[in-house]
Amino acid sequence: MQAHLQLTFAPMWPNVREIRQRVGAALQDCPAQLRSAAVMTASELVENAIKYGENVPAASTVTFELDATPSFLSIRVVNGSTNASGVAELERRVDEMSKAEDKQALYLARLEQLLANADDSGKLGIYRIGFEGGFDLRLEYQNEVVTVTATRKANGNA
Amino acid sequence: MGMPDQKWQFEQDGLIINASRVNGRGTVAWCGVSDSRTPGLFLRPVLRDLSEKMKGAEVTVDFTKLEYMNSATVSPLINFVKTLDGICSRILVLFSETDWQRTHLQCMRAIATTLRHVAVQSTPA
Repeated sequence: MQAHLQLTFAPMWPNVREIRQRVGAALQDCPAQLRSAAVMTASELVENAIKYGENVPAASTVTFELDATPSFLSIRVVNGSTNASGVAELERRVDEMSKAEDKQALYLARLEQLLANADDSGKLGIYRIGFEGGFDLRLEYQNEVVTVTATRKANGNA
Repeated sequence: MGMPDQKWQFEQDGLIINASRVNGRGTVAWCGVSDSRTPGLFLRPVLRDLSEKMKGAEVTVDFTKLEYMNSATVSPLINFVKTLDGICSRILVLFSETDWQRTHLQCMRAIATTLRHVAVQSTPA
């Protein structure tokens, strides 16, 4: 299994569904579990990029990249942002998930918060990518450009 | 004469929720895709309405035909089950054993331990 996908698009919501379809098609020869994890991860990362992304000189659109080999899967999403504090909060959650020994516990803790406050929502996608998707996440922020990279082994957990 | 069968359908952008109440037994079946930017705008009033309609019933909440949901859908979904737990006599939550639903099955089982009337089951994919 070998796949590569690179797409650049305007930060418009219908592109989320398009990305899921494109990733699903690109990984059609993958095991269903891996394909499902990649589709979800791509979708959650692109949702974030569209929700919070901005047009900045170094990134006027959203860029999406998928690379798959028989042993490795990488998803990268790039968008602009001038909201340094928002990016810092995202980075904090990425770090928290990366360092967590029990990713399910982190995900469940967030669910309990959502149950305790029905009006609360969001801030679940990063934990979902780590727990449900089995991906490792890395975030870089430079020159008002946010790059989030999700990686995992193709034949097991990240 | 008993109450007539009652059926409702709610739909938005690929998500369909079919609900019914017959002889004190209710079903709320989710089908399709929930991936809107703010799913709560559609789901919260719909699920509040359905909670009222299901009050006192034995309810099955069936997610087995749900093909995909984004993480923003999770909060309205779990809070719907929590609301039903407070007003219904028994709630059965069904997930499919497809890959992506298995995670939500595990989590709902964990949540159900904190609720009084909720059982969670899976069905083969």
